[in-house]
Order: sequence, then C-alpha cells, then structure tokens
Amino acid sequence: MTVAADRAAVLDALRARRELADWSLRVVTTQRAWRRLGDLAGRGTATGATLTVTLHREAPAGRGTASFTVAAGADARALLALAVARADAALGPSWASPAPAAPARVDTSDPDVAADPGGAVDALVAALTAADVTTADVTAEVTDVELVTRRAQRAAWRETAVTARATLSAPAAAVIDARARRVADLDLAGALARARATPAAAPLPPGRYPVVLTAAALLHGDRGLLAAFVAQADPRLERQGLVRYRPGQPIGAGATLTLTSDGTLPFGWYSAPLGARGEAVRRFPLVTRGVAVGLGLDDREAALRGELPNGGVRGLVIPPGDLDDDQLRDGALVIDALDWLEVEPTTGWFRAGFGGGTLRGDAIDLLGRARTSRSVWSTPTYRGPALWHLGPVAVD
Amino acid sequence: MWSRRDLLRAAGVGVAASIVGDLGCRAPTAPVAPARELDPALRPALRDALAVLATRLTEPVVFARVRRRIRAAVDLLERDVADDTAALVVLAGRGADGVWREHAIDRVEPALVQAAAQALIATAPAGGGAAVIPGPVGDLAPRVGTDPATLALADWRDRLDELAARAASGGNSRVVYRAAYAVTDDETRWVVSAAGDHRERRVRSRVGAVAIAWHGSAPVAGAVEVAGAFGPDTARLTTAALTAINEEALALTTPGAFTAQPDATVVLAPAVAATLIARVGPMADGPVTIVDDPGELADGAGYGSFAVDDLGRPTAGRRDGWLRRDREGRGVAAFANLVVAPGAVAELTAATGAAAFLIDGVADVGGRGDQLALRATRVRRLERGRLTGHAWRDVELRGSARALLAATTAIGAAPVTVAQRDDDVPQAVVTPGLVSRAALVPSRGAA
Repeated sequence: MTVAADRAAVLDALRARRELADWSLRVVTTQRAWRRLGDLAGRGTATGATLTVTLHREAPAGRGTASFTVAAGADARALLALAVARADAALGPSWASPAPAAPARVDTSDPDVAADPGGAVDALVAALTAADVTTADVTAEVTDVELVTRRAQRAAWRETAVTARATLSAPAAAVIDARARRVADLDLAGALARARATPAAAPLPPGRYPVVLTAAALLHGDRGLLAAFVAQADPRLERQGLVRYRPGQPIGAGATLTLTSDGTLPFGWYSAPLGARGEAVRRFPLVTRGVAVGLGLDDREAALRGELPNGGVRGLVIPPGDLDDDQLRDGALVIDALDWLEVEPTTGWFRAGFGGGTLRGDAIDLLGRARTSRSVWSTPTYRGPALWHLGPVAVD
Repeated sequence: MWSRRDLLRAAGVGVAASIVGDLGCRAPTAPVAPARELDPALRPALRDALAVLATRLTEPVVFARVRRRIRAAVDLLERDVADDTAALVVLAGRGADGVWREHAIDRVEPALVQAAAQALIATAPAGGGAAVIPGPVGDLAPRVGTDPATLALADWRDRLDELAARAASGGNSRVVYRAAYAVTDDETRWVVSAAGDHRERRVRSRVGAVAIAWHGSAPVAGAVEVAGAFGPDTARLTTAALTAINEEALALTTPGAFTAQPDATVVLAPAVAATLIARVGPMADGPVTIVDDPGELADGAGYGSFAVDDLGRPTAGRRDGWLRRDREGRGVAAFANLVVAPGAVAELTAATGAAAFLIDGVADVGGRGDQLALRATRVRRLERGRLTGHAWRDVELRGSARALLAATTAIGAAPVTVAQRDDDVPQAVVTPGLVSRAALVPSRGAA
C-alpha cells in the first residue's frame, strides 16, 4: 500500500468512529539527500512517511486520550480499536478541545533546498572540502506535513532542514555541528572560524571567576543553559510542584531577565504554523523583568487551566542589554564554546566542561541576574544578546 | 497525581522513563494487534532488486529489516502493552565514477522495492555494473527460550504482573512509585549480495524495574535491568535484584557535601564500567582486555549479536569491523558486544584494601572524548572491604577512560550485559565490575 492508501484507510476508520470526541491525523512525508566525506564516504537518498493518530474519548468519568503510529500497510481499524480501548482505560479530568486555530504565518521552507535537496548538499560539501575537513556528513531534508482533524481542520505545509557535521584537520579533533532550516542560516563560515579559534586552554586553578559566555557557548547543544527556563515552563512539572517558581513569582533574587517564546521566527528551527495536534502556535512571555509569566501550553494543558494554547516553548527571544562588548569582556573569563553540558531540569543546576575546566552553578540564578551586551546574535532557535556576563561562577 | 514520565525524569532514571513513560492505560480488553505476516514475495523481490542494481552498479547490496518492538509495563496503577513495527529497505552499490550510492525507503512492498532499485540506478552514471552470481542462501534463527511471536496479550500481562509482585517485596510506604517493564525486539533482516542471500532473525529483550522514594524535596530511584538475546524471560530478573532496588531507593545519604578524593580506589559496578568501556572500544593491552564479539554469547548475553553485517559480510573471522544500518538506514560503524574477559574475583569490595568507594550507577555522563566527568547515582564508602554506611548522591568521577581501565587492579568474575542503545543499532557491553583508581569530586562543587 502507498502512503496515500494508508492515509485514506486511517481517515475512513476514524470517520467511522463517530463516538470519538476528537481526533487528529498527522502525515509527515520526508525526502532526504546526504553525502559523506572520509569514513563511509558516499551519497544517498531516502524517502519515508509517518502517520500519527491522536484520539480523545469522553466518558462520564472524564476524557481519555491515546496516540499511535500507523505502520505501512497496517490494519488501521484494528489499531484504532486498540487505541480506543487504551483511551477508555486512561481517563483523566474532562476537558474540551479548543476551537480550531488559524495557522500562524511563518516561513519554514528554503525554496532552494525544497527544489533540489541533492544540489544543496553538493554545495555544502564543496564548501567543507575547501575548508580542509577530514570527515563530513551533510544532510538536506524536505518534509511535507499534513494535519487533518475531526472538526474539518486541515492544514499542510513544508519544512526544510539542512545539517552539517565535520571534523577539522586542525586543530585536532575540532568539530562543527550546525543545523538550520535554510542554507543561508547554517553559517558554516562562522562555525568553522569558531572551531579553529578555540585555543587549548591550560586548566585553571579551582576557584570563582567572573565568567562571560558568548551566545554560542550559552546555547551549547541546542538551548544550552536556557534549557533550565524551558523546563520550568513545563506545565506538568509545575502542576506537580517540581519547579522552582510558578507564574507570577520572581525567578530569583535580583533577577532582571526577560525571555519570550516565539514559534513564528522566520525559518526558526522550532517554528511551525500549528502544533502537533493542530493547536495554535503563538508568541508568549516566559519571564518578564525577572518575574515568571507563562507556561508552554498544549491543547490539553490550556483547557485544564482555562487558557488558550500557545503551542509550547519554541524559539527563545531575549531583548539586548545595554553594555558594550568591551565592558563585559574586561577582566572576565570569556568562554567561546563549551565541550559538554548537563542542566538539571527541576532545579536549574548545571555543570559544563570547557577548555580550562568545569563550570558549576545555578543557571536560573546566574542567567536571571546576568548583564548582557547591546550586540545581538541570531540562530534558528535564538535571538538575543551576543554576550552574557554571569558574575562569579565556580570553576574546577 | 504523579505523571510517571515526570517522576522518572526527575529521579534521573533515563531508560525506564523512555520505556515506561510512553505507556498508560488500565488492563486493556482489546488484543495486541497481531504481528504482520512477512510477505513471502519480499525475498524474491530483494533478489530482483539486486539484479536491477547490478545493471549499473558494482558491489550491489540490498538490505531489508522489519523490526517489531513490544513494550510492556506495569506500575502502581496501570499496565499496558504497545506493539510497533518499523520497516526499512536500503539499496546500495558503487557507480562507474567510484562513488558509493544508496537509496532507502521505509516500506517492504515488493513493487516499491523494485521502484526504489530503478530510482537508484537512474541516478548512477552509465558504464558501471557487475555480473552478479547469486550467492548461497542462508537462514539463521537462533533458538529463543520464550518466543515473542507465540505470546498473546494475557501472556505479556501475566509476566509483568508476576515481575511487579516480586518487585513490590521489600519496600515500604516511602516508596511512592514502582514500575516493571519488558521490551522485546523481534527483528528479521535480509541482506542480498554477491556474497549470499542471507536472512537472519534476532530476538533481544530488556527487562527491568524501578522504585522511587522521596528524599527531602527530590525523588531518588533504585533501578535494575537485565538485557540479552532472549525473549521476555522475566524470571531472569531475580527477586534478590528486585529487592535491592527498594533498598537503593530508600537508602539515606550522609549529611554534608562529599570531600573530594584526588586519587581514590573505586569499585565500579558493571553499569559504570560499561560507560568507560563504551568510550574506549576494543582494547588488547593492559589489565582489561576488551573484544568486540558479534557472535553468540553464553546464556543469551549477546544483546548486539549478529552473524552477517548489513553489507552482507559474515562476521566470523572478520577483524575489520562491521557496518550496521541505523534507524534511518544510514550506515554506521558500530560495535556489537564489547566483551571484557572476566576475572577471578568473586567479591570485588573485598579486594580494595584500607579505603575505597563503591560507585553504584550512572546518573549522567559528561566530558569529551576520552575525558570523563561521570555523575554517579550513588557513591558508598568502604573500609577494609566493608561498607561503612556513608553514602552520597552528588559525586562525580573524573579522569581519562583509558587511564581508568589501565589502572584496574581487580576484575570481577560475573559479567553483566549492559544494553547501550534503545532505539538505534543494538549494542551492548558485557562486563563484570572493576576495581581501579580515579578522582572523585562533589558534582555541585566544593561547599
């Protein structure tokens, strides 16, 4: 059976179950092109599709929900029957699905990549080859997303993604790892320059040092230390008391941070017109001048709280500070990149390795009171200050 | 009411959180969706696809994989069984320009396989090709004690209920959450190339349990898992091991911060040793010998075992490594089972001398390359081979993984299979505990 046949079979099965309170079908079809240099050199393509159903059942005792993925050619009716039984047995508080949301207007597809993912890969490989890398792995992906819901909501959009990982010949073992929706945002030149510029620092004597993180270091991995705030905005953790602060409370003594979630950043990595089940994606504040404001609310969490859904925490936006780069860097230990990072979601405590040792501290406290630069830095997931002065931080 | 995923995540139990956290319902009345019968026309279609590739590619290979994963879990309130199947076909070969080319699809319908083969050769330059003489046909299906294909829903439920009942013994009211799980992969692979037409079925399982208790404002977990090339044999998880996780969750810790130890004797539990070994890979010199062994291991220990790699090359006698296909079909050079030759020391704590520290498990692994910054779940002090009762939870083990292994002074006699991956290429480290030397520091810094 083809994807179209599977889709039709699933929709027929869903529409036949009129007793379902609500359901959504998400069809994700992917085309991928890739090339490798060095070990396992070669080039390839791939196609795939995933069909995911979420359904809700209402009962006097509450509402139950179940999700399942439809394998190629699977018996949709049998899978649906099993999921209905699971939903019946997983009743929670009643809640009503919000009204269908209009898709946000956001660009998520690079037309050049969409038209020719193989060509995009070849161009990136040429750039890396010229940059004297020993290994490289480049991928371009075109994803078509279709969403259909019980209430006749139907939306479709295209997303592109390009990733590039490479190991440089010098300095030894220097690695770049970049991803973006658009080739122009991959910033290969910047990533290569940063990887080459990282000096091999001698270990620092243990102590407390005034630390400045560049945005690249702050965002190590993906959200980096800002993951502490993303975790605090999890409504399930908040409801169970596993967070440090709740909306309306200060995030910490002396905190001045303002942090906004924006799922409509053009070509943002987390940007999307709608959430996974058709809920709205909106821009909303997480923290305003040191006071917690909002949580990332999907359709269920929003309904239980009597609020509107916002699609969860996505791109992070922080207004620029008012200090010059030189003012911030003066007398500080400036860290351009981290080697590794662990952030504890419920406490915000972190530890991070860098060339000179290990940083340890309270990410929420340090970032909440940080002094930031007037200069800004942008990535597919972040718009904010280029430099963050954390004050004294423990190093060992 | 606690969300299981959140509680498991807060307690730092990664594997259980991913397995147990996704499930949720009371006893289902509907049957587990029956496993799809594999299309008998698939194998001929793979051979036909090889012939198509050979018209323009040298070294043609056709790979197919159907993996059925059954996840069953029971916790304080609920039980559930989830059954998912994923398919993958990868067609590959070398073009006349010398470039290795591949095309992957996620469907195994014969017509789609044929179309994918045509699509791949359409992108290859003219002038290539090979005369492929079909290689010998081989079918391998190692015997499995409990075959998941023969189990009905009730069987899965009974096994998990029995496991959960044993896990509940030895706890008290401070244990606020308890779960037991079994995950079984029933996987069939086909690799068709000039070297042969090989079909191989592998069954592997992870069976485990978790107990969580509150300590002040944070949840603390005790966890155990057995993994290997067997079906959902829940009896492999002994009652003693299940009782121990309650003790681990309930154990109190020593007030005050841990005092840094720049060069401590450490007893590494198998799970901790496995983390070092996975970083280092095969090693022939030094006190610890590590071999990558994809063969059948005794007592079903080979969670990552296979006979022919995903390019159709037999592993027997091979020294150059093997290629596996990840979830998306990308080729990766991945170890199968990193096996440490067991030693003769039955009780490692007795082999430690005046003062030592027992490192119970891994909470998080930091560090880069060979340098480790491993945060332990719990560290307990030993004096003259006996536990003193002192224990800490926020301790970090630091050092070079290679140097730690080179400094090993004793190797345990009882190896344990530690499964390394849950959703990608199956891999394992089979190792006993080790005694070595390492630096230990408080993971939250000096007080």
